[in-house]
Amino acid sequence: MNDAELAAVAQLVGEDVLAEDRAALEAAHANLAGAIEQLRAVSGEHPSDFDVRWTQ
Amino acid sequence: MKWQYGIEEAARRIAARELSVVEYVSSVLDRLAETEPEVSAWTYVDREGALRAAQQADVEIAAGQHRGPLHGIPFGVKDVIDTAGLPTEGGSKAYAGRIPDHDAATVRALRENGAILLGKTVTHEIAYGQNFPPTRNPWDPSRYQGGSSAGSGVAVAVGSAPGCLGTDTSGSVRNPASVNSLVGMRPTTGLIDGSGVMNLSEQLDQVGPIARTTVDCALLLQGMVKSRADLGPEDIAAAVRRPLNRPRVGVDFAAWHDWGVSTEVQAAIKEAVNVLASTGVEIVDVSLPELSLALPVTLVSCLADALRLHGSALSDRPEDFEPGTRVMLELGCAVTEEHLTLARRARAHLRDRVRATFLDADLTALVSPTLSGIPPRLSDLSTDLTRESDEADLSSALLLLAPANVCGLPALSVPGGFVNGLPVGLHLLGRPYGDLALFRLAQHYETAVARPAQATLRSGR
Repeated sequence: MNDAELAAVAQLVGEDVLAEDRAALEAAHANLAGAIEQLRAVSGEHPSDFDVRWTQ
Repeated sequence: MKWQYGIEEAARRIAARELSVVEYVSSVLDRLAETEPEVSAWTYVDREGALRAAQQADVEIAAGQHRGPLHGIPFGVKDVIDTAGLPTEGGSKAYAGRIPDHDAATVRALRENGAILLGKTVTHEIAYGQNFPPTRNPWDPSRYQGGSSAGSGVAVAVGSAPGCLGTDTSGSVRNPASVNSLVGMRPTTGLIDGSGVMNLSEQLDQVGPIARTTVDCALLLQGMVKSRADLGPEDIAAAVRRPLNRPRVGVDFAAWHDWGVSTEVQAAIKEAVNVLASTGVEIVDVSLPELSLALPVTLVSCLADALRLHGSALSDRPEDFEPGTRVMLELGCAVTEEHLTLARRARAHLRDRVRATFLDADLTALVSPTLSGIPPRLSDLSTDLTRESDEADLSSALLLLAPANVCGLPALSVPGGFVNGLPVGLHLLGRPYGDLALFRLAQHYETAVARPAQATLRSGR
């Protein structure tokens, strides 16, 4: 995680809790990065909203 | 024993005055007391309140004020769904002592239809699936119990409720249904009012029913919907039993392999597909590799939404969250607006591909296993949603379930066979507002295989 992201977590839970969670958080972040790469590979429009119903 | 009556059977006997509501509710409560030491499915049981409501129901029915098939039927509610005056703590110390003033819309609707609230069932903490609740799998207590609606599934399986409500962000109703050999439904987004829930992600979450049969599950859903007309005819049990007109189901066998579905589960669900084929359902080979996009969309959406919804509690009391839940909430800080835009784009792409596949092949449903394997042993389990998939990792399970939530589609798990003596679910994904068609297809299969769905505890109870 970058410094800004870590600072945001520290602001939320405090430095001590961040230190306790840091290793698990970094591992989880690596998998989030993989998910983002999967999403970047999708082409298409950027919709403004989402409709559950299908239009024919 | 009266607790063994499912919703439809009990409703018929109550309406015919062959069974009093007090008799039925008392029997279910006794069953709960008998099984609970072994399975730990409940966090709070309102025995007095349930018996009081049962007495009132008997008075009303005797006076000719019968409210319908749910009048006098007891039910349990996952501990993330609000119940007025009863604890709703989301399975978390961070929310200990939280007692809502109002029922969730689904609970209110069921009570207005005469159903009787028994209490609250165990959930993974805030339904995130990152911790280890005390609930035990009645088929094998050494194995994963299903989740995050863990208690709701187990309670129905052992007969401590004929039906329960769960919530489903990426399969949390269908997963315990599969593990416990039950029917669990994630309704179309918009079919029910989801207010009054401690959500993980409002855009993905849906309250859903779990019951022992398809008709029981449909009766429970009918009692929860915003508009009954959006589900089907008033006599929903008869509607579920009405045959479908030339049903066609799509199957992507290659995806099962690519997604790591075990050989044994593939074989069991192929056999279930063969049963459908032999009873008049047309099977269509389809290819939908895009379904795998549902997992990254779910992850990004959940991380951002969960932090927004639970960030205040996290900030106030970080030590009160389980470590796994806390890390997932913290990880929400790494999700940016750009990531959310990417997730929205992938969601729209997936929705369009699913829609095109259904329309091009004229499908009633897409069929798959509910879970990729039999429940892993608790000692081997990693619940971490962000890990790469392996045999004991639950993220692989989400692959087959998350597309329904991401696309807002109805999906259902019906008992689909056994592997090594453990239940496996047959998963049906349907069209928007095609909830009744899924119930009909599930009923078609259930009738064809005529399989009992009652767990027997190791103690013999």
